[in-house]
Amino acid sequence: MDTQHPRPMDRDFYVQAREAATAAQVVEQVDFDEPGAFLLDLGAGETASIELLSGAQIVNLLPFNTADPDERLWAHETCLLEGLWLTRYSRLWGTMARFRPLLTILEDTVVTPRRPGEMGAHHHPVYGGAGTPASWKWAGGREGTLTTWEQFAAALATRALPTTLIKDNACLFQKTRLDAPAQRLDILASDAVTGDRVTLFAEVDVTLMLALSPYVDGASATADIDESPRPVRITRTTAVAQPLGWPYPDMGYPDLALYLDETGTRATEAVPTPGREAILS
Amino acid sequence: MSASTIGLALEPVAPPIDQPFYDRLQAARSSFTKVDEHTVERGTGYGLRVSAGQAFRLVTVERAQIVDLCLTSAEDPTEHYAAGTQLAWEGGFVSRGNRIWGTAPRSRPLAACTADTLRPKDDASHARDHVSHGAHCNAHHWMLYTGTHPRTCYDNLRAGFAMLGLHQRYVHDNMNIYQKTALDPHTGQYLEGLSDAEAGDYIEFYAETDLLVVVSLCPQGSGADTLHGGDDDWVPYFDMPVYPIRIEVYDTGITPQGWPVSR
Repeated sequence: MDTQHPRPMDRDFYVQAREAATAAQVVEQVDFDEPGAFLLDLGAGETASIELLSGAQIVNLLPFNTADPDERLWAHETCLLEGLWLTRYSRLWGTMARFRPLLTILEDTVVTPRRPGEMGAHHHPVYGGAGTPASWKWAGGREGTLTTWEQFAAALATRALPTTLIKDNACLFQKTRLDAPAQRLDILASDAVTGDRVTLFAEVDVTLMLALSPYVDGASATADIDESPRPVRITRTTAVAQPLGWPYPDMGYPDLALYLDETGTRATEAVPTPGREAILS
Repeated sequence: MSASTIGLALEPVAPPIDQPFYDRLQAARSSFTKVDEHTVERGTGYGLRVSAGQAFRLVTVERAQIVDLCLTSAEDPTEHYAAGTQLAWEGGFVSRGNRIWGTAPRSRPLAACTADTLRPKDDASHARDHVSHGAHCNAHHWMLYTGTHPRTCYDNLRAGFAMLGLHQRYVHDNMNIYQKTALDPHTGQYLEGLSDAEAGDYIEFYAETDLLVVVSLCPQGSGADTLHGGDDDWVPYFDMPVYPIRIEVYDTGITPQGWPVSR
Protein backbone atom coordinates (compact mmCIF):
# COMPACT_ATOMS: atom_id res chain seq x y z
CA MET A 1 0.00 0.00 0.00
CA ASP A 2 1.27 3.45 -0.85
CA THR A 3 1.72 5.74 2.04
CA GLN A 4 3.17 9.19 2.25
CA HIS A 5 4.49 8.51 5.70
CA PRO A 6 6.10 5.08 5.44
CA ARG A 7 7.35 3.14 8.39
CA PRO A 8 9.57 0.09 7.93
CA MET A 9 7.61 -3.14 7.71
CA ASP A 10 8.89 -6.69 7.41
CA ARG A 11 6.15 -7.83 5.12
CA ASP A 12 7.39 -11.42 4.91
CA PHE A 13 7.01 -11.76 8.67
CA TYR A 14 3.33 -10.87 8.49
CA VAL A 15 2.70 -13.10 5.51
CA GLN A 16 4.07 -16.00 7.50
CA ALA A 17 2.16 -14.96 10.61
CA ARG A 18 -1.05 -14.88 8.60
CA GLU A 19 -0.39 -18.38 7.39
CA ALA A 20 0.42 -19.59 10.89
CA ALA A 21 -2.76 -18.01 12.22
CA THR A 22 -4.91 -20.31 10.10
CA ALA A 23 -3.57 -23.31 12.00
CA ALA A 24 -3.23 -21.74 15.43
CA GLN A 25 -4.71 -23.39 18.50
CA VAL A 26 -7.86 -21.78 19.85
CA VAL A 27 -7.51 -20.69 23.46
CA GLU A 28 -10.78 -18.89 23.97
CA GLN A 29 -13.96 -18.41 21.97
CA VAL A 30 -16.96 -16.30 22.85
CA ASP A 31 -20.15 -15.57 20.96
CA PHE A 32 -20.90 -11.99 21.87
CA ASP A 33 -24.20 -10.19 21.35
CA GLU A 34 -24.68 -8.20 24.54
CA PRO A 35 -25.19 -4.45 24.77
CA GLY A 36 -21.92 -3.80 26.50
CA ALA A 37 -18.28 -3.71 25.53
CA PHE A 38 -16.17 -6.85 25.61
CA LEU A 39 -12.65 -6.81 26.97
CA LEU A 40 -10.20 -9.35 25.62
CA ASP A 41 -6.62 -9.53 26.86
CA LEU A 42 -4.19 -10.71 24.23
CA GLY A 43 -0.62 -11.70 24.86
CA ALA A 44 2.02 -10.49 22.44
CA GLY A 45 2.03 -12.78 19.41
CA GLU A 46 -1.51 -14.07 19.98
CA THR A 47 -4.33 -13.40 17.56
CA ALA A 48 -7.96 -12.42 17.91
CA SER A 49 -10.52 -12.95 15.19
CA ILE A 50 -13.84 -11.16 15.07
CA GLU A 51 -16.27 -13.12 12.92
CA LEU A 52 -19.80 -12.14 11.94
CA LEU A 53 -22.39 -14.74 12.89
CA SER A 54 -25.61 -13.24 11.63
CA GLY A 55 -24.97 -10.68 8.95
CA ALA A 56 -23.11 -7.40 8.99
CA GLN A 57 -22.48 -5.78 12.35
CA ILE A 58 -20.25 -2.77 13.02
CA VAL A 59 -17.76 -3.60 15.75
CA ASN A 60 -16.00 -0.67 17.36
CA LEU A 61 -12.46 -1.37 18.52
CA LEU A 62 -10.33 0.59 20.95
CA PRO A 63 -7.21 -1.36 21.97
CA PHE A 64 -4.87 -0.37 24.79
CA ASN A 65 -1.67 -1.59 26.38
CA THR A 66 -2.84 -3.94 29.11
CA ALA A 67 -0.16 -2.80 31.53
CA ASP A 68 -0.37 0.89 30.60
CA PRO A 69 -3.81 1.87 29.26
CA ASP A 70 -2.55 5.40 28.59
CA GLU A 71 -0.93 3.80 25.53
CA ARG A 72 -3.88 3.16 23.24
CA LEU A 73 -5.01 3.42 19.64
CA TRP A 74 -4.00 6.66 17.97
CA ALA A 75 -6.55 6.80 15.17
CA HIS A 76 -5.31 10.05 13.68
CA GLU A 77 -1.72 8.94 13.33
CA THR A 78 -2.86 5.52 12.13
CA CYS A 79 -4.78 7.33 9.40
CA LEU A 80 -1.67 9.32 8.50
CA LEU A 81 0.47 6.19 8.25
CA GLU A 82 -1.99 3.61 6.95
CA GLY A 83 -4.72 5.61 5.29
CA LEU A 84 -8.29 6.08 6.35
CA TRP A 85 -9.45 2.51 5.85
CA LEU A 86 -7.85 -0.54 7.41
CA THR A 87 -7.32 -3.86 5.69
CA ARG A 88 -4.95 -6.79 5.64
CA TYR A 89 -1.49 -5.82 6.98
CA SER A 90 -2.65 -2.45 8.26
CA ARG A 91 -1.02 -1.63 11.57
CA LEU A 92 -2.89 0.03 14.41
CA TRP A 93 -0.54 2.51 16.04
CA GLY A 94 -0.41 3.53 19.67
CA THR A 95 -0.16 6.92 21.31
CA MET A 96 2.83 8.83 22.56
CA ALA A 97 5.34 8.33 23.96
CA ARG A 98 6.12 5.02 22.28
CA PHE A 99 4.08 5.50 19.07
CA ARG A 100 4.49 1.86 18.09
CA PRO A 101 2.23 -0.77 16.50
CA LEU A 102 -0.21 -2.28 18.97
CA LEU A 103 -1.93 -4.60 16.50
CA THR A 104 -1.53 -5.70 12.89
CA ILE A 105 -4.40 -6.97 10.80
CA LEU A 106 -3.54 -10.40 9.42
CA GLU A 107 -6.84 -11.07 7.72
CA ASP A 108 -9.77 -9.12 6.37
CA THR A 109 -12.29 -11.11 4.35
CA VAL A 110 -14.81 -8.32 3.67
CA VAL A 111 -15.35 -7.59 0.00
CA THR A 112 -16.31 -4.10 -1.13
CA PRO A 113 -18.20 -4.27 -4.45
CA ARG A 114 -18.07 -1.28 -6.77
CA ARG A 115 -21.51 0.22 -7.11
CA PRO A 116 -22.81 3.39 -8.71
CA GLY A 117 -22.93 6.24 -6.21
CA GLU A 118 -20.44 4.60 -3.86
CA MET A 119 -17.23 5.81 -5.43
CA GLY A 120 -14.29 5.25 -3.13
CA ALA A 121 -16.28 3.44 -0.47
CA HIS A 122 -14.32 1.08 1.77
CA HIS A 123 -14.77 -0.84 5.00
CA HIS A 124 -13.08 -0.49 8.38
CA PRO A 125 -12.45 3.26 8.78
CA VAL A 126 -9.96 4.02 11.51
CA TYR A 127 -11.74 7.27 12.40
CA GLY A 128 -14.55 6.58 14.80
CA GLY A 129 -15.28 8.62 17.84
CA ALA A 130 -18.76 9.70 16.92
CA GLY A 131 -20.64 6.96 18.73
CA THR A 132 -21.48 9.28 21.59
CA PRO A 133 -24.74 9.73 23.47
CA ALA A 134 -25.12 13.14 21.84
CA SER A 135 -24.68 11.78 18.32
CA TRP A 136 -27.32 9.14 18.96
CA LYS A 137 -29.71 11.60 20.56
CA TRP A 138 -29.42 14.37 17.95
CA ALA A 139 -29.92 11.85 15.17
CA GLY A 140 -33.18 10.70 16.76
CA GLY A 141 -31.95 7.39 18.09
CA ARG A 142 -34.12 5.25 20.36
CA GLU A 143 -33.94 6.25 24.01
CA GLY A 144 -32.28 3.82 26.35
CA THR A 145 -29.87 2.48 23.74
CA LEU A 146 -26.31 2.05 24.96
CA THR A 147 -24.02 3.97 22.65
CA THR A 148 -20.45 2.93 21.97
CA TRP A 149 -19.08 5.63 24.26
CA GLU A 150 -21.27 4.41 27.11
CA GLN A 151 -20.30 0.81 26.46
CA PHE A 152 -16.62 1.75 26.54
CA ALA A 153 -17.12 3.78 29.71
CA ALA A 154 -18.78 0.84 31.47
CA ALA A 155 -16.09 -1.58 30.35
CA LEU A 156 -13.32 0.71 31.54
CA ALA A 157 -15.07 1.06 34.89
CA THR A 158 -14.79 -2.70 35.44
CA ARG A 159 -11.03 -2.13 35.58
CA ALA A 160 -11.26 1.14 37.49
CA LEU A 161 -10.11 3.05 34.42
CA PRO A 162 -11.34 6.57 33.62
CA THR A 163 -13.43 7.61 30.65
CA THR A 164 -10.66 10.04 29.72
CA LEU A 165 -8.96 7.05 28.09
CA ILE A 166 -11.66 6.92 25.43
CA LYS A 167 -10.25 8.14 22.13
CA ASP A 168 -11.39 7.80 18.55
CA ASN A 169 -11.88 4.12 17.79
CA ALA A 170 -11.65 1.96 14.68
CA CYS A 171 -14.95 0.86 13.18
CA LEU A 172 -14.60 -2.68 11.89
CA PHE A 173 -17.08 -3.83 9.25
CA GLN A 174 -18.43 -0.29 8.86
CA LYS A 175 -18.60 0.93 5.27
CA THR A 176 -17.91 4.57 4.57
CA ARG A 177 -17.19 6.83 1.68
CA LEU A 178 -15.52 10.20 1.88
CA ASP A 179 -17.33 13.23 0.55
CA ALA A 180 -14.31 14.91 -1.00
CA PRO A 181 -15.25 18.61 -0.90
CA ALA A 182 -16.62 18.54 2.66
CA GLN A 183 -14.23 15.82 3.83
CA ARG A 184 -17.09 14.22 5.70
CA LEU A 185 -17.46 10.48 6.12
CA ASP A 186 -20.78 9.11 4.94
CA ILE A 187 -21.82 5.79 6.46
CA LEU A 188 -23.20 3.28 3.99
CA ALA A 189 -24.77 -0.12 4.41
CA SER A 190 -22.01 -2.61 5.14
CA ASP A 191 -21.27 -5.29 2.55
CA ALA A 192 -19.95 -7.68 5.18
CA VAL A 193 -21.74 -11.02 5.36
CA THR A 194 -22.03 -13.88 7.80
CA GLY A 195 -18.65 -15.55 8.10
CA ASP A 196 -16.61 -12.46 7.31
CA ARG A 197 -13.86 -11.88 9.80
CA VAL A 198 -11.00 -9.60 10.76
CA THR A 199 -7.99 -11.20 12.45
CA LEU A 200 -5.66 -9.10 14.62
CA PHE A 201 -2.10 -9.92 15.66
CA ALA A 202 -0.97 -8.56 19.01
CA GLU A 203 2.36 -6.75 18.75
CA VAL A 204 2.44 -6.22 22.52
CA ASP A 205 0.34 -7.39 25.47
CA VAL A 206 -2.83 -5.57 24.53
CA THR A 207 -6.44 -5.39 25.64
CA LEU A 208 -9.06 -5.20 22.93
CA MET A 209 -12.11 -3.20 23.92
CA LEU A 210 -14.88 -4.21 21.52
CA ALA A 211 -18.37 -2.76 21.33
CA LEU A 212 -21.23 -3.78 19.05
CA SER A 213 -22.46 -0.59 17.45
CA PRO A 214 -26.14 0.25 17.92
CA TYR A 215 -26.04 1.34 14.28
CA VAL A 216 -25.87 -2.40 13.48
CA ASP A 217 -24.87 -2.52 9.80
CA GLY A 218 -25.15 1.16 8.95
CA ALA A 219 -28.07 0.53 6.62
CA SER A 220 -30.82 2.40 8.45
CA ALA A 221 -31.41 5.97 9.48
CA THR A 222 -30.70 6.32 13.18
CA ALA A 223 -34.30 7.10 14.04
CA ASP A 224 -35.46 3.95 12.24
CA ILE A 225 -33.15 1.50 13.99
CA ASP A 226 -35.19 -0.94 16.06
CA GLU A 227 -32.94 -3.94 15.78
CA SER A 228 -30.53 -5.10 18.43
CA PRO A 229 -26.87 -5.57 17.51
CA ARG A 230 -26.10 -8.85 15.80
CA PRO A 231 -23.82 -11.45 17.34
CA VAL A 232 -20.13 -11.87 16.57
CA ARG A 233 -17.70 -14.62 17.51
CA ILE A 234 -14.47 -13.60 19.16
CA THR A 235 -11.70 -16.18 18.96
CA ARG A 236 -8.35 -15.93 20.65
CA THR A 237 -5.46 -18.19 19.66
CA THR A 238 -2.07 -19.07 21.01
CA ALA A 239 0.88 -17.05 19.80
CA VAL A 240 1.50 -17.52 16.10
CA ALA A 241 4.83 -15.70 16.04
CA GLN A 242 7.17 -13.78 18.29
CA PRO A 243 6.56 -10.08 17.52
CA LEU A 244 9.51 -8.32 15.95
CA GLY A 245 9.40 -5.51 18.46
CA TRP A 246 9.64 -1.79 17.78
CA PRO A 247 11.71 0.04 16.75
CA TYR A 248 13.40 -2.09 14.16
CA PRO A 249 17.21 -2.21 14.45
CA ASP A 250 19.05 0.87 13.18
CA MET A 251 15.82 2.83 12.91
CA GLY A 252 15.78 6.45 14.06
CA TYR A 253 13.82 6.56 17.31
CA PRO A 254 13.59 9.22 20.01
CA ASP A 255 14.91 8.96 23.55
CA LEU A 256 11.86 7.84 25.50
CA ALA A 257 13.43 9.07 28.74
CA LEU A 258 12.36 12.54 27.59
CA TYR A 259 8.74 11.51 28.04
CA LEU A 260 8.59 8.62 30.49
CA ASP A 261 9.07 8.60 34.23
CA GLU A 262 10.50 5.92 36.47
CA THR A 263 7.34 3.84 36.10
CA GLY A 264 7.95 3.55 32.38
CA THR A 265 4.77 5.47 31.61
CA ARG A 266 4.28 9.04 30.45
CA ALA A 267 5.44 11.48 33.08
CA THR A 268 2.71 13.46 34.81
CA GLU A 269 4.76 16.47 35.81
CA ALA A 270 3.69 19.71 34.15
CA VAL A 271 7.02 20.44 32.51
CA PRO A 272 8.21 20.86 28.93
CA THR A 273 10.22 18.16 27.19
CA PRO A 274 13.76 18.39 28.55
CA GLY A 275 16.03 20.26 26.20
CA ARG A 276 13.07 21.95 24.60
CA GLU A 277 12.11 24.17 27.46
CA ALA A 278 12.49 27.56 25.95
CA ILE A 279 9.32 29.26 24.92
CA LEU A 280 11.19 32.15 23.46
CA SER A 281 8.69 34.88 24.21
CA MET B 1 -30.18 -6.38 2.18
CA SER B 2 -29.37 -7.77 -1.23
CA ALA B 3 -26.06 -7.23 -2.90
CA SER B 4 -27.73 -5.20 -5.62
CA THR B 5 -29.18 -2.65 -3.22
CA ILE B 6 -27.42 0.68 -3.26
CA GLY B 7 -26.26 1.44 0.26
CA LEU B 8 -28.04 4.05 2.29
CA ALA B 9 -26.09 6.86 3.84
CA LEU B 10 -26.90 7.75 7.43
CA GLU B 11 -27.96 11.33 7.66
CA PRO B 12 -25.39 13.72 9.16
CA VAL B 13 -26.05 14.53 12.79
CA ALA B 14 -27.56 17.98 13.27
CA PRO B 15 -27.13 19.24 16.83
CA PRO B 16 -29.47 22.05 17.84
CA ILE B 17 -28.33 25.54 17.00
CA ASP B 18 -29.64 28.95 17.96
CA GLN B 19 -28.85 30.60 14.66
CA PRO B 20 -30.13 34.07 15.67
CA PHE B 21 -27.51 34.05 18.44
CA TYR B 22 -24.71 33.46 15.97
CA ASP B 23 -26.19 36.07 13.63
CA ARG B 24 -26.05 38.59 16.50
CA LEU B 25 -22.50 37.53 17.25
CA GLN B 26 -21.49 38.10 13.64
CA ALA B 27 -23.17 41.48 13.59
CA ALA B 28 -21.30 42.51 16.75
CA ARG B 29 -17.86 41.72 15.37
CA SER B 30 -17.10 45.30 14.43
CA SER B 31 -17.39 46.27 18.10
CA PHE B 32 -15.09 43.57 19.45
CA THR B 33 -12.39 45.18 21.62
CA LYS B 34 -8.85 43.86 21.62
CA VAL B 35 -7.65 43.27 25.19
CA ASP B 36 -4.49 41.26 24.70
CA GLU B 37 -2.06 40.10 22.10
CA HIS B 38 0.99 37.90 22.03
CA THR B 39 3.39 36.97 19.25
CA VAL B 40 4.35 33.33 19.42
CA GLU B 41 7.92 33.01 18.24
CA ARG B 42 8.70 30.76 15.34
CA GLY B 43 8.93 27.06 16.12
CA THR B 44 7.58 27.27 19.66
CA GLY B 45 4.43 26.63 21.65
CA TYR B 46 2.22 28.73 23.88
CA GLY B 47 -0.71 28.39 26.24
CA LEU B 48 -3.24 30.98 27.35
CA ARG B 49 -6.65 31.26 28.94
CA VAL B 50 -9.56 32.74 27.01
CA SER B 51 -12.69 33.49 28.96
CA ALA B 52 -16.19 32.58 27.89
CA GLY B 53 -17.55 35.31 25.66
CA GLN B 54 -14.11 36.39 24.48
CA ALA B 55 -12.77 35.70 21.02
CA PHE B 56 -9.25 34.92 19.93
CA ARG B 57 -7.54 35.22 16.56
CA LEU B 58 -4.59 33.37 15.10
CA VAL B 59 -2.98 35.93 12.80
CA THR B 60 -0.47 35.24 10.06
CA VAL B 61 2.36 37.69 10.65
CA GLU B 62 4.85 37.13 7.82
CA ARG B 63 3.89 34.05 5.85
CA ALA B 64 1.67 31.04 6.30
CA GLN B 65 2.59 28.98 9.32
CA ILE B 66 0.91 25.74 10.37
CA VAL B 67 -0.58 26.04 13.85
CA ASP B 68 -1.62 22.97 15.81
CA LEU B 69 -4.49 24.13 17.98
CA CYS B 70 -5.72 22.42 21.16
CA LEU B 71 -8.81 23.62 23.01
CA THR B 72 -9.52 22.46 26.55
CA SER B 73 -12.20 23.40 29.05
CA ALA B 74 -10.64 25.58 31.74
CA GLU B 75 -13.05 24.29 34.37
CA ASP B 76 -12.43 20.63 33.53
CA PRO B 77 -9.30 19.92 31.48
CA THR B 78 -10.45 16.37 30.80
CA GLU B 79 -13.03 17.94 28.49
CA HIS B 80 -11.32 18.93 25.27
CA TYR B 81 -11.65 19.24 21.53
CA ALA B 82 -13.07 16.06 19.98
CA ALA B 83 -11.63 15.63 16.49
CA GLY B 84 -13.60 12.49 15.71
CA THR B 85 -16.89 14.14 16.58
CA GLN B 86 -15.88 17.26 14.68
CA LEU B 87 -15.14 15.24 11.57
CA ALA B 88 -18.50 13.49 11.78
CA TRP B 89 -20.64 16.55 12.58
CA GLU B 90 -18.92 19.43 10.74
CA GLY B 91 -16.63 17.74 8.22
CA GLY B 92 -12.91 17.88 7.71
CA PHE B 93 -12.38 21.64 7.55
CA VAL B 94 -12.87 24.50 9.97
CA SER B 95 -14.03 27.90 8.79
CA ARG B 96 -16.51 30.59 9.58
CA GLY B 97 -19.78 29.11 10.78
CA ASN B 98 -18.36 25.87 12.14
CA ARG B 99 -18.77 25.09 15.79
CA ILE B 100 -15.89 23.37 17.57
CA TRP B 101 -17.08 20.33 19.54
CA GLY B 102 -15.87 18.88 22.80
CA THR B 103 -15.62 15.36 24.14
CA ALA B 104 -18.38 13.19 25.54
CA PRO B 105 -20.29 13.01 27.76
CA ARG B 106 -21.04 16.74 27.43
CA SER B 107 -20.41 16.88 23.66
CA ARG B 108 -20.97 20.61 23.67
CA PRO B 109 -19.51 23.36 21.54
CA LEU B 110 -16.32 24.70 23.09
CA ALA B 111 -15.97 27.44 20.51
CA ALA B 112 -17.40 28.76 17.27
CA CYS B 113 -15.42 29.97 14.30
CA THR B 114 -16.58 33.51 13.64
CA ALA B 115 -14.14 34.67 10.99
CA ASP B 116 -11.75 33.26 8.43
CA THR B 117 -10.09 35.71 6.07
CA LEU B 118 -8.09 33.15 4.10
CA ARG B 119 -9.12 32.93 0.47
CA PRO B 120 -8.67 29.31 -0.61
CA LYS B 121 -7.31 28.36 -3.99
CA ASP B 122 -9.23 25.21 -4.74
CA ASP B 123 -7.81 22.48 -6.89
CA ALA B 124 -8.78 18.98 -7.94
CA SER B 125 -7.42 17.51 -4.73
CA HIS B 126 -10.08 19.33 -2.64
CA ALA B 127 -7.31 20.22 -0.18
CA ARG B 128 -8.00 23.28 1.93
CA ASP B 129 -6.56 25.05 4.90
CA HIS B 130 -7.72 24.57 8.48
CA VAL B 131 -8.11 20.84 8.87
CA SER B 132 -10.19 19.53 11.76
CA HIS B 133 -8.08 16.44 12.35
CA GLY B 134 -4.61 14.99 11.84
CA ALA B 135 -2.93 15.15 15.27
CA HIS B 136 0.56 16.57 15.71
CA CYS B 137 4.07 15.91 14.51
CA ASN B 138 6.33 14.38 17.08
CA ALA B 139 9.85 13.13 17.72
CA HIS B 140 9.14 9.83 16.01
CA HIS B 141 8.49 11.44 12.61
CA TRP B 142 11.57 13.60 12.83
CA MET B 143 13.97 10.98 14.15
CA LEU B 144 12.91 8.48 11.50
CA TYR B 145 13.22 10.82 8.56
CA THR B 146 15.83 13.37 9.60
CA GLY B 147 17.72 11.91 12.54
CA THR B 148 16.97 15.11 14.45
CA HIS B 149 14.57 15.96 17.25
CA PRO B 150 13.55 19.61 16.91
CA ARG B 151 10.81 21.28 18.91
CA THR B 152 8.06 19.14 17.48
CA CYS B 153 4.39 19.95 17.81
CA TYR B 154 4.01 17.38 20.59
CA ASP B 155 6.86 19.07 22.47
CA ASN B 156 5.46 22.55 21.81
CA LEU B 157 2.00 21.54 22.90
CA ARG B 158 3.49 19.93 25.99
CA ALA B 159 5.27 23.20 26.75
CA GLY B 160 2.10 25.19 26.19
CA PHE B 161 0.09 22.97 28.53
CA ALA B 162 2.90 23.21 31.10
CA MET B 163 2.49 27.00 31.05
CA LEU B 164 -1.08 26.34 32.23
CA GLY B 165 -0.05 23.83 34.89
CA LEU B 166 -1.03 20.72 32.92
CA HIS B 167 1.15 17.76 31.97
CA GLN B 168 1.65 16.01 28.64
CA ARG B 169 -1.28 13.60 29.01
CA TYR B 170 -3.57 16.57 28.39
CA VAL B 171 -2.19 16.96 24.87
CA HIS B 172 -4.98 15.77 22.59
CA ASP B 173 -5.80 15.41 18.92
CA ASN B 174 -5.90 18.91 17.54
CA MET B 175 -6.99 21.08 14.65
CA ASN B 176 -4.34 21.96 12.11
CA ILE B 177 -4.82 25.61 11.29
CA TYR B 178 -3.15 26.96 8.13
CA GLN B 179 -2.38 23.42 7.06
CA LYS B 180 -3.69 22.66 3.60
CA THR B 181 -4.56 19.04 3.23
CA ALA B 182 -7.31 16.57 2.39
CA LEU B 183 -7.97 12.87 2.48
CA ASP B 184 -8.07 11.25 -0.95
CA PRO B 185 -11.58 9.82 -1.39
CA HIS B 186 -10.28 6.77 -3.23
CA THR B 187 -7.20 5.75 -1.26
CA GLY B 188 -7.86 7.41 2.09
CA GLN B 189 -4.34 8.81 2.04
CA TYR B 190 -3.46 12.36 3.02
CA LEU B 191 -2.88 14.85 0.22
CA GLU B 192 -0.73 17.77 1.29
CA GLY B 193 -0.11 21.19 -0.16
CA LEU B 194 1.16 24.64 0.64
CA SER B 195 -1.10 26.84 2.73
CA ASP B 196 -3.01 29.58 0.89
CA ALA B 197 -2.63 31.98 3.82
CA GLU B 198 -1.06 35.39 3.31
CA ALA B 199 0.34 37.90 5.75
CA GLY B 200 -2.49 39.44 7.74
CA ASP B 201 -4.88 36.52 7.32
CA TYR B 202 -6.53 35.32 10.49
CA ILE B 203 -9.02 32.83 11.79
CA GLU B 204 -11.15 33.80 14.76
CA PHE B 205 -12.88 31.70 17.39
CA TYR B 206 -15.53 32.71 19.93
CA ALA B 207 -15.18 30.98 23.30
CA GLU B 208 -18.45 29.30 24.29
CA THR B 209 -16.94 28.47 27.66
CA ASP B 210 -13.78 29.32 29.60
CA LEU B 211 -11.01 27.81 27.53
CA LEU B 212 -7.39 26.87 27.74
CA VAL B 213 -5.94 27.51 24.29
CA VAL B 214 -2.64 25.83 23.44
CA VAL B 215 -0.83 26.22 20.15
CA SER B 216 2.23 24.83 18.46
CA LEU B 217 3.95 26.48 15.52
CA CYS B 218 4.81 23.42 13.51
CA PRO B 219 8.46 22.95 12.47
CA GLN B 220 7.07 22.12 9.03
CA GLY B 221 6.47 25.79 8.54
CA SER B 222 3.97 26.56 5.83
CA GLY B 223 3.41 23.14 4.38
CA ALA B 224 4.72 20.35 2.31
CA ASP B 225 6.35 21.96 -0.67
CA THR B 226 9.65 20.16 -0.09
CA LEU B 227 8.17 16.99 1.32
CA HIS B 228 8.14 14.82 -1.73
CA GLY B 229 11.01 14.19 -4.06
CA GLY B 230 10.87 11.59 -6.79
CA ASP B 231 8.15 9.12 -7.47
CA ASP B 232 9.53 6.43 -5.21
CA ASP B 233 11.25 8.13 -2.34
CA TRP B 234 10.05 9.93 0.69
CA VAL B 235 12.29 12.97 0.93
CA PRO B 236 13.20 13.85 4.50
CA TYR B 237 12.31 17.37 5.41
CA PHE B 238 14.40 19.61 7.62
CA ASP B 239 15.47 23.21 7.99
CA MET B 240 12.11 24.35 6.72
CA PRO B 241 11.47 28.05 7.24
CA VAL B 242 9.10 28.71 10.11
CA TYR B 243 7.25 31.90 10.96
CA PRO B 244 5.65 33.59 13.97
CA ILE B 245 1.93 33.78 14.69
CA ARG B 246 0.20 36.52 16.62
CA ILE B 247 -2.61 35.61 19.01
CA GLU B 248 -5.10 38.40 19.67
CA VAL B 249 -7.80 38.25 22.34
CA TYR B 250 -11.00 40.29 22.15
CA ASP B 251 -13.86 41.09 24.45
CA THR B 252 -17.02 40.60 22.40
CA GLY B 253 -19.70 41.88 24.76
CA ILE B 254 -21.74 38.79 23.88
CA THR B 255 -22.42 36.28 26.65
CA PRO B 256 -22.49 32.64 25.55
CA GLN B 257 -25.93 31.11 25.55
CA GLY B 258 -24.88 27.90 27.31
CA TRP B 259 -25.66 24.34 26.32
CA PRO B 260 -27.85 22.62 25.40
CA VAL B 261 -30.13 24.92 23.53
CA SER B 262 -33.55 23.94 22.31
CA ARG B 263 -33.96 23.31 18.58
